[in-house]
Amino acid sequence: MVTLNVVRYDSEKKQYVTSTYKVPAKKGMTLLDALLYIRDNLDGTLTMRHSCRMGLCGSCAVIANNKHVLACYTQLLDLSTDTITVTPLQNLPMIKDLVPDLKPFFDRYKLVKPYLIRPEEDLRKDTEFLQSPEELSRYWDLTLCIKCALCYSACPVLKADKDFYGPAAIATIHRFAIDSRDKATKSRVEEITRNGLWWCARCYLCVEACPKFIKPGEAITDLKVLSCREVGVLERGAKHAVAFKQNIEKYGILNEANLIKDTVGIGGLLKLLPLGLKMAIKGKPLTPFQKPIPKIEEIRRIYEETRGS
Amino acid sequence: MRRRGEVKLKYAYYPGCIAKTSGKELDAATRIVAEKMGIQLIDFPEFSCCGGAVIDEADVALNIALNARNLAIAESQRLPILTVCSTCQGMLSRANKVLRENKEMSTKITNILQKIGMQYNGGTEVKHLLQIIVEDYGLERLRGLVTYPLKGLKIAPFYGCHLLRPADVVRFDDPWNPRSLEDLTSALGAEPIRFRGRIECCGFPLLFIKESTANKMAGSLLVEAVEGGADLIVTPCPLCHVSLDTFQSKAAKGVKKRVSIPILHLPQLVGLALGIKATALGLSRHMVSVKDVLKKIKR
Amino acid sequence: MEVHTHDIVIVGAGLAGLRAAIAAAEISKNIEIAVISKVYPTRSHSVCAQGGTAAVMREGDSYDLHAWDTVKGSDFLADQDVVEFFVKRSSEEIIRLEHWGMPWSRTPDGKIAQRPFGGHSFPRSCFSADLVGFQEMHTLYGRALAYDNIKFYDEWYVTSLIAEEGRAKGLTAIELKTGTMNAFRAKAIIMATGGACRIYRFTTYSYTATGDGMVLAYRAGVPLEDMEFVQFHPTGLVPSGVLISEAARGEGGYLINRKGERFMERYAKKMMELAPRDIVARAEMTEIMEGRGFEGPSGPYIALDLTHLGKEKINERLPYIREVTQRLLGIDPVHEPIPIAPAAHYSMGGIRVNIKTATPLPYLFAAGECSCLSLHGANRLGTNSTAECLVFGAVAGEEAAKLALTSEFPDLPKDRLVEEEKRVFDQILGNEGGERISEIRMQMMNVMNEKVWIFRDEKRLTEAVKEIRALKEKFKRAKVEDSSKVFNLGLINALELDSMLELAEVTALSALNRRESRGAHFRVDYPQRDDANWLKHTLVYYTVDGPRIDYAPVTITKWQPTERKY
Repeated sequence: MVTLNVVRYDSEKKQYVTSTYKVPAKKGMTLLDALLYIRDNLDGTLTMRHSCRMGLCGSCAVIANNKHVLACYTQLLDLSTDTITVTPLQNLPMIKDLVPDLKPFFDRYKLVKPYLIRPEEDLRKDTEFLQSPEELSRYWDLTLCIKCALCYSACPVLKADKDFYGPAAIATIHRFAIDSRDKATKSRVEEITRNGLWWCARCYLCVEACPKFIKPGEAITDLKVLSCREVGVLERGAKHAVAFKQNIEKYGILNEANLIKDTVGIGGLLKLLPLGLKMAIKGKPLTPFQKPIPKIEEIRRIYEETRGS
Repeated sequence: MRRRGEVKLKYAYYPGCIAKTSGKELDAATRIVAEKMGIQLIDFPEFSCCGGAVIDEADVALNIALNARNLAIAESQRLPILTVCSTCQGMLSRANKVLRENKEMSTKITNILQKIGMQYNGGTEVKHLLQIIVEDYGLERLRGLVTYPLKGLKIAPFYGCHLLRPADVVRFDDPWNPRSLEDLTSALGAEPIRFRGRIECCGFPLLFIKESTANKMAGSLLVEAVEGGADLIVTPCPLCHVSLDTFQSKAAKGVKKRVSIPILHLPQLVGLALGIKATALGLSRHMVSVKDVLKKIKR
Repeated sequence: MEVHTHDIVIVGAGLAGLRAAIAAAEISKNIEIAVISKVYPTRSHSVCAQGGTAAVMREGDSYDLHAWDTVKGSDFLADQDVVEFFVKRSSEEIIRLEHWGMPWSRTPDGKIAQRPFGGHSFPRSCFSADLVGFQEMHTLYGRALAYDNIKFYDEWYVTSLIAEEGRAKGLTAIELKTGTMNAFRAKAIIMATGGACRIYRFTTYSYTATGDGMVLAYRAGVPLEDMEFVQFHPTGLVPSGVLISEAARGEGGYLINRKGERFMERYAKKMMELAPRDIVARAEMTEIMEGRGFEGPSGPYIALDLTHLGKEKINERLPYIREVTQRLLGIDPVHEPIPIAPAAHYSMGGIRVNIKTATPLPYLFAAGECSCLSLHGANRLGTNSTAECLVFGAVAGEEAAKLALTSEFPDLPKDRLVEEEKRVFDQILGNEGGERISEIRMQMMNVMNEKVWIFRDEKRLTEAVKEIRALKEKFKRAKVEDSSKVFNLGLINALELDSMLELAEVTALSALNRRESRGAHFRVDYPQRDDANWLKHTLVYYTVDGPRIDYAPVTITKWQPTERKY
């Protein structure tokens, strides 16, 4: 017997309540099997999305014992032989029980133009656009996104800032940007660069959450690199990355004062002056004057060798 | 890898950047605690920055190359690396993994290292101090060294992303339900407090990119810890420390709440339990005063 | 009740529904299209299709050959004008999808690759690893989002089709989020709601694919055609029923019985594991019934052996199959055979439509698995279904658009709307009876699995019809446990069960009626094909006194029925 504590959203009282159930567990039973057992035998009001039960449709995304999982793709006894707490996805408005409102998630997806962009005449061609198996393999993994919203739920930037597009949407942009057939790479990259590409904090929660091992967080980092190349160093985030890079070339380890100056400019630096003074009082002065580390020539040689690659 | 009994705990000490500049208290605390525990730290002033999870957003190969050099320096002395920063841990581990699995990158990096007369053969293990305490040193052994158990203290561990994820790169604790810091807290005599955001991001990477969001991220974590009843937050990452301590007042403003909670570096917490003086641990350098905590444990 | 007015309303956002929407949207920017789906489009059952999409594209293949394979595969029940039209349009759909971003698997020189598939005498299955339905769905959905004149009603459940004065006029639908009943008014309506196999217990279907659209049309007077022809896919994972693509056999997998034999040699010596599905399913069932199946905790099974293919080939061509068997069973097909058994997989039958996807009810069209043209006759070849959805989804969209451009909006009869609200909220949701929905559903699935399965006979089919009718009566006393307004899945399950019981009755009755064996329909008491008496389509009409059976002729153009041997 496994105990399931299901945290459900009460749509009338507008609060979360926990229902506890005991489910007879056996090997091979998935979390979805357990939830459906509850629905069919213990509590017909327990509501959750489910459809394909084979890890392709993305309906059954939930959080179980703090893990972001697809219920149909998770063995019940792998989660626990004792007690499992099931909660609905985060970062989304709730409808009922384990069912969040996915409209914000799908609206974002629509926003990023998730279709191949080619000039009209090309679309009238009666043969395929050629694409080698190697070119296909470059973006293949990113096409496997099942739109389950687990990454959206796990993202701590989204927790604080709903203007962030979220991992799935940005990974989708990357999927099309590196599809050799797409002709809108530059505008795609430009658009996301100006709309929060650099707000991704590299925390890898989305990489852990993704049930298809797509690694959206890595795709976003790749897109940042692509952005520096295609669009240039325009956004703060890009400036920060380039400034950091140059900083290490000069000093070997970070000179924080100069890094901040190069990222936010003198104006931004002045805004931080009060904090800087407080820090100096506590014995943490930030000075732009710093000696480079010993053997800095080795560092600089590495920079030389990787430049232009 | 577990070492027991008559084993030399000797590491190439990789402090990272913050511990050498604005976060000097972390370096001071590490050295004192390591000595007390019998862990030998060998300095290599030529270690470079690990890239901070920022350089590889501009240039992936450069980041791997810089870290390959760091790994090679330690390998030349046949020493594993001890880190005190979650981000450094993540970056060095990542470099090891990439060099192991990506033949193209590995060849490229080998050529670059050759140009500076260096070579890396993939043999350097990289472990964070927390990992070393839990895996190599042993919590039981640490418990034996505790002279001032932190009884009555409620401590909220905050891990820092790169110590836990990606799990196949860092291979340390459970990425969704880690327990190493909570176990350490218990071994030191205190009560661990778990809060939702303990595995989330402190917002540091966004501090100079989108400050409002960074503030909200840090602010919500602080509120969660305080509402969970914590007296202090302990973190194994100096970047998280900057976000949660140095920028605490901005974080509080970001979530429009009054919060004040001291943030301790991991070795500072260990040091207190081992009887080391607060001043020696650099606790006076924090932006948020640690006085109430010290009072509570009568130090 | 709020009334939404759109030129075209499409019910179902799977492959056929999305393709129809795009086709209509391309005809004119001034056509307003609504797509109503009870799940978010990317959750449609179409994403589960794995094997591939058939098209004539290369030297050595021909339209006649593809048509012949399809007609022979159908055991000569397919309407050959439909087949000939179909094979000519499939390749342009492949190219069009590719232009929209479909990540087709490629040959070394960058062209769209094709592989062999059961029942096809030329390797013409275009594929995308083993995820063709998934990739086609995401390509179509992404593309559909580019059109301003397509509006999605996501998580809306259609409860009735409003037909009056001899034509389709509109629909009623529940918005799940709010629980309110809404009406839709349209110049043309397209049903694209998928097939009926959830009436069985062991099926490859998603939970949500319950065949509702077939019943919407049926109750509005449109006949359901050839419902007795249910395809049993040879390789459903035991015990869940999850589909293991025919591609596993296409890439060289073997079917092994308990004695270690590749038993297909006794049933289809030439094509072996790649014989058409009905033949393989019957072979497997025979092996099991004669005691040569493996015994497992969830019942008997056959082994699908991929171990000789090697890790590289499996990772390249069948990665999803490897993933799902590992996740659901902890088995790695690189090292161990997979336990499978025949599972209810596809409805060859459905809403009767002509070659232009028009149903006998004016202003109502149907496309995809819910329709019956008949393209597949008594048995469908693999990779022809996704192709059907694309070809005839496009036709439905085009035809509906043409109709919409030259028609006026109908008026919806208000009394029908009131009636429907009463039926759903008072009769069904407000039912105070003591029967349980989940129990009735399980009983229905058991009856179908035991008595209307691969080998059928008069006695058990008669019992099945009787038992289904008893369950229909029971349903009238069924209580919906969930009484909430918002997102009431219990109410939806009840409405779905209402549809499924109807489909179960029609299926069992059609099977009882057809006294011959043809394609996927096998009568133990009438084991021969009987062209003289039965070369015709079964039609079932809804009447107040119960289903009425009629027939329609099969259109033959080029190929006279011959013996079907492989």
